Amino acid sequence: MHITVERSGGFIGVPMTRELDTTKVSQQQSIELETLLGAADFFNLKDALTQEPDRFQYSIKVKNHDQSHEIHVTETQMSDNLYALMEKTLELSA
Amino acid sequence: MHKRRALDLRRACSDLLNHSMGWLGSADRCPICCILPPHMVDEVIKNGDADDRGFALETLRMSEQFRGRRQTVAQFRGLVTPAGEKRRTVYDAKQGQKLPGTIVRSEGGPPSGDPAVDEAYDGSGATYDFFKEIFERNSIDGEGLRLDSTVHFDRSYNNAFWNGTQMVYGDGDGRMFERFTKSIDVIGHELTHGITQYEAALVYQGEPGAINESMSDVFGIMVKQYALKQTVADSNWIIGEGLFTSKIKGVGIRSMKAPGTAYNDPVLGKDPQPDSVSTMYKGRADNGGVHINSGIPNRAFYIAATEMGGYAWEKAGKIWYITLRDRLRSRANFRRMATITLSVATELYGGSSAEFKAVEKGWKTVGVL
Ligand SMILES: [Zn+2]
Repeated sequence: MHITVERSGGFIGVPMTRELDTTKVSQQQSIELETLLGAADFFNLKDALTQEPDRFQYSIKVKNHDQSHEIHVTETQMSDNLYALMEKTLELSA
Repeated sequence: MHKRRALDLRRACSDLLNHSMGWLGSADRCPICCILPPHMVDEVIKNGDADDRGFALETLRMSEQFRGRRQTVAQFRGLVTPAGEKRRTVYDAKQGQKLPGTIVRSEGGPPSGDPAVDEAYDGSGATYDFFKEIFERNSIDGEGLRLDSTVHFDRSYNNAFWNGTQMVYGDGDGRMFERFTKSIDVIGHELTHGITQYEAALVYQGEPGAINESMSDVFGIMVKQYALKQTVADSNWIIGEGLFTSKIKGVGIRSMKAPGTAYNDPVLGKDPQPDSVSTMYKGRADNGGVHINSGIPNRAFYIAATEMGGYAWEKAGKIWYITLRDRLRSRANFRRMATITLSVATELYGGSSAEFKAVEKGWKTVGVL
């Protein structure tokens, strides 16, 4: 599985892109990511961008063997599971 | 019955958001970020129970803010915010995301000893004083709205924001960023988002969004200049100076004097701000580059203020303030902003004045005119 997280906006407005190939992390971490992906119902999520000052905007793209999906979302519109997926991806790709 | 009505209100809210104003935010996660038709709010304020009334008042407050004060009727204002003086409260989110958090310092209270708390208190005070003393404005709404700040929001959060009713500051990750209360212009920036919300209500997308951002930087830097009694020549015109740790190669987050030059770091990358319309960002990230293209009007202000000399707030700041308070409409683009500032300069100083020429030079240099 391949995860790309792009962050923009925030007061700082510093663009950031991180990519993660889950074959390069431990099996336990890979399972954790898969679990969060499922719990967040990622492949059925739609874009949810708002116009709130200085909040982070995320573009999250996930590609695995049989499907690919990308969403654009403001941090205030992310479920706890999606937020955790984003945080975990950033942590493992740092 | 009453509970039911509250739920119906939230449902109506949700529908409105989905159908016409989705950009304002989800009613589920943020019930205050909602607009209801005034007649519905009116009815609930008169007839609802305490819960309903609280919700409706909050809704009214939010809708006033989002629509812009000039376009609203303030018939319930007395109920919402009693007029007053500087009333600051600082809360601690204790690294969680719940707002506002626990009260740690109120107006007139002694310093807490926590730098983030005391900086938020002092910085919001300095911002209030700046607007009061220079523009005779009584707080964010012009009517003494309380200044609420929350510090220690979330973990390692590299951000600060205005959520529609209060200021919120992260601690930074300590690796790249320090705590966000460290720069007084950041506090001025966030508070100015509140003022913009009550006045021009600039749409937070594309060019009007970049003007919204620029207004926050323009008044943010003037708050700093006023606190330090700096002239246009004394100021370094850097937004967010001191936010980077020593590991980062950069002087701050944005340069109003030379957009695109604030930082250039192996980990963070290079400051993406354009310094003229010819290199404007056209992508969809960051609400269409609101924090990127703000470099263009930022530099126009810097040039105008520097040409005029002295203290930025005396003339250039006055022109920008009147533009924000009385003239800009919510969907204004750069060109509109330029023509309005020129007409305000004409009204204040005359069409062949040095001030008019300074403003014109600013907008011409960045390619807007
Ligand atoms: Zn901002």
